[in-house]
Amino acid sequence: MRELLLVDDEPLVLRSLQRSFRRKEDCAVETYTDPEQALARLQTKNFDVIISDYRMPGMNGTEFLRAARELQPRAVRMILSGQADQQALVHAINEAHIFRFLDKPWDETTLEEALQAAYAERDRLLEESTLAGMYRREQGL
Amino acid sequence: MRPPRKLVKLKTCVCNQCGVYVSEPFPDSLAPYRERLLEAERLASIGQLAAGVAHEINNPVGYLQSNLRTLDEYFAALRELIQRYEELLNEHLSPERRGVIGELRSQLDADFLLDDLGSLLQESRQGVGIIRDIALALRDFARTPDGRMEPVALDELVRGALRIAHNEVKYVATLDTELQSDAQVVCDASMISQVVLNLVVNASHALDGGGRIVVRTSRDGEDRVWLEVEDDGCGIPESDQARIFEAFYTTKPAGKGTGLGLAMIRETVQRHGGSISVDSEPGRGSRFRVTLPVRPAADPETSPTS
Repeated sequence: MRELLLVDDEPLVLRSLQRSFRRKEDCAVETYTDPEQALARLQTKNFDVIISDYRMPGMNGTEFLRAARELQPRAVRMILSGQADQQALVHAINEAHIFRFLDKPWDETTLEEALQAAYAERDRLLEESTLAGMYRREQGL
Repeated sequence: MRPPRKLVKLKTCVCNQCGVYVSEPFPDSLAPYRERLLEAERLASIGQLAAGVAHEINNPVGYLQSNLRTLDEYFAALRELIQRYEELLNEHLSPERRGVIGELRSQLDADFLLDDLGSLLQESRQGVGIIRDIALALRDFARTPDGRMEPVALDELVRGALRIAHNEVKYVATLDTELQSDAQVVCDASMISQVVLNLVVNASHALDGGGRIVVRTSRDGEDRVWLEVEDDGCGIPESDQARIFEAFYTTKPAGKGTGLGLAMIRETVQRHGGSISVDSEPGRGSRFRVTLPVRPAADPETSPTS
């Protein structure tokens, strides 16, 4: 079971996404309209994928995902936003190390493909850290 | 939006001591230019507003589209369930009770509802799709030109611009396209979209009470393309043809044009290393043709970033 965290200040967007994921995916979805609350949740629970809006009151998507990355570096981060100016993109990539920047209004197929790719990335990251751990133990580090 | 400023020359008060500036009335000869500058400023702020509106529309369009799709699937599942119920009812209910259900069914017009629900959803999705395309086109269009030159599919770009122009044009003209360039052009997409939009809107202004506009694209040899906007409107007298590309030259009534449209078009086209020409005859219509290199020359003089 995959664990998804969705953050968007528009509740109807969250409800709509939740419905799409519920039908297709073997996944559990948690949604937050407030990035602060989502960060609090990240301190207590592990997630596979985090999808965030960009423009939100209080904290933008890049700021949120940068903080999320510090808490859970192996949770794959994506931005879903209708606001795609170059500056925002640059910050999101350089500072929050996002995996995908998805356009709003979203297209179900693109979203689905991005999600599958994110799962694969998540598995790769986990495998990598397991291997690194094994290597360290072997070397007695 | 800022209140219209008075474009005036200032001079000091006649007493020459108090330090107060008094304004001199705007010279009459410059009045038309003032009008046009204000008009240009107004259009610029409308453009900015449009970009903001497009952003706002994207959110609801996103979930509307996704919800309608979900609704479609819910409906398919429920329809199957209803069908199964009916089969079972027919098997097990007494004819008398079946009659009761049948009556309710016709009272509610259930057969029609079930039949129509599919097209209802389909048509709604189609409508949302159009809103989505317009919002995206508007957003791409209003994106501040940043001088970035990127390869763009010319025919796609023209289609996007026509989506925006559609509203302005549909009541006065039929808009036909023959987009056959099938070319990638390295350009500043939002600037070239403006060019297409301006030419089409211009063409619609030339049509008085109905006519036809044709937009064509084609390759022009190995490394050039052209795009053409043709109308069968009033045409341009030969005496005006030489001047139409001049800034502030307009034959349109005040408020209808800034006199900057064609001047800006030419400026944009030249920056891309291209050219624009007009072929027109009063009473028969006009044809504007923009020729662009597929890749602008490396010469910094012709690059928009310079």
